[in-house]
Amino acid sequence: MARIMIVDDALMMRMTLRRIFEKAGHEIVGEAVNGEQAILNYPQYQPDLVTMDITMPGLGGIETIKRIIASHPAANIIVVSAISQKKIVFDALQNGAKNYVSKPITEDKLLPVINLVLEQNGLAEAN
Amino acid sequence: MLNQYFGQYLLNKGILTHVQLRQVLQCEQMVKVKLGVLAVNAGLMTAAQVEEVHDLQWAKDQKFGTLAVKQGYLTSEQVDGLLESQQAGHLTIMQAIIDKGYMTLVAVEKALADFRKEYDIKGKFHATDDENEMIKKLVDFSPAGDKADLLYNYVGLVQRNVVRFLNDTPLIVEPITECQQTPKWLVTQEIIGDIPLSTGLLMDESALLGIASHFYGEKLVTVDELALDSVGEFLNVHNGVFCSLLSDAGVMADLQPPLVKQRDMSFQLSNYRIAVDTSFGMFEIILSLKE
Repeated sequence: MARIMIVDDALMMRMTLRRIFEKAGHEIVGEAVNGEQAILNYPQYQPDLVTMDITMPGLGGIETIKRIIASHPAANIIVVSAISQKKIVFDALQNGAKNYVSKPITEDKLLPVINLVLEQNGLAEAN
Repeated sequence: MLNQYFGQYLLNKGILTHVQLRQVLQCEQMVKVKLGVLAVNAGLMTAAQVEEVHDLQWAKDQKFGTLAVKQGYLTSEQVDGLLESQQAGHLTIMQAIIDKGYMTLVAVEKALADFRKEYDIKGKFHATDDENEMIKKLVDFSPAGDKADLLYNYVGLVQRNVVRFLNDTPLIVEPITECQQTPKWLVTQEIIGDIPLSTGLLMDESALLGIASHFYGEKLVTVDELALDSVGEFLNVHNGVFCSLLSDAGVMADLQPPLVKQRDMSFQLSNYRIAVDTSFGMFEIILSLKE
């Protein structure tokens, strides 16, 4: 079970992600509706993993990733976004994101990526 | 897809009314069998492979068969064979039209022949190219000059994404008149980059709840934050795919966050408005090229 923080300005996305994660046995420790809130909440919640939208009002997802990684280099951030252009994916990964999932989200698309990142960082439960 | 455009043709020619066509399409929808299901049934692909291709389809806006061949799951010949068995399904719409007494078989035969002739469909229906040709007969973007194709592609993608994400059959219809008093909701999103484009969807409450419910996957009955965000996310995901396609063509494009609000009368509905009818209501695509 992983402790996950969801960052997305859309309530619909936060609810969809929460539903998928909780069904898979993970715990949602916090949510943020924009980049500024995510930066403030990260040290408070210390999640195992963060899902990060890119297109948000105010501070965008790429800059938010950069700032969280700057202060918490071990942060595991997975981008969940409608935008999937190579340049933006590259920027996200270059700035510290561990992986990238494009919207619309399905369980079959999201959970394997989550599990891979958790395994790679020693956070997956032993079978 | 052929059913959708044959139905559109019958509507535009005044052969069927809007209400008649919706009833016929509901019959067709109930028995439409997707290519992935046909592939699994034929033992050519596994369900997991089909799901993988569906995910790619949403992101890449390519046909199932094209992607399945690229992934090495099917050969071109196998795709042709599956398409043959799927396109027999267009007989359902013709049968439904006859069963409901809207047209005789002779009249359907003539309308189908006229439709194929008008759109120059000689053999298989080649989506995207043929779809754009059909959209050009319904919508006029010629004032946009060299950007017209961009707008045709946008509308074609909306049509395909209504099918993919909302599981419904869209029809392009006459624009909604301004004098209607029904309050409207406006979802907007700016595409920025090499070709700045203002995009929007204008709809009444019923259509908003229909789109939101279909996209979220649960019935929503109140226009609250969840419903508004769901509609915003539908436009956001659609525009995300559009920007990806632009990027693949070497055009830099990015998105601003979507906004949803009740339309106020000071809002200028500029440039292009394309009315789209669905089984849960009508919405308008609003497009405006920025200088």
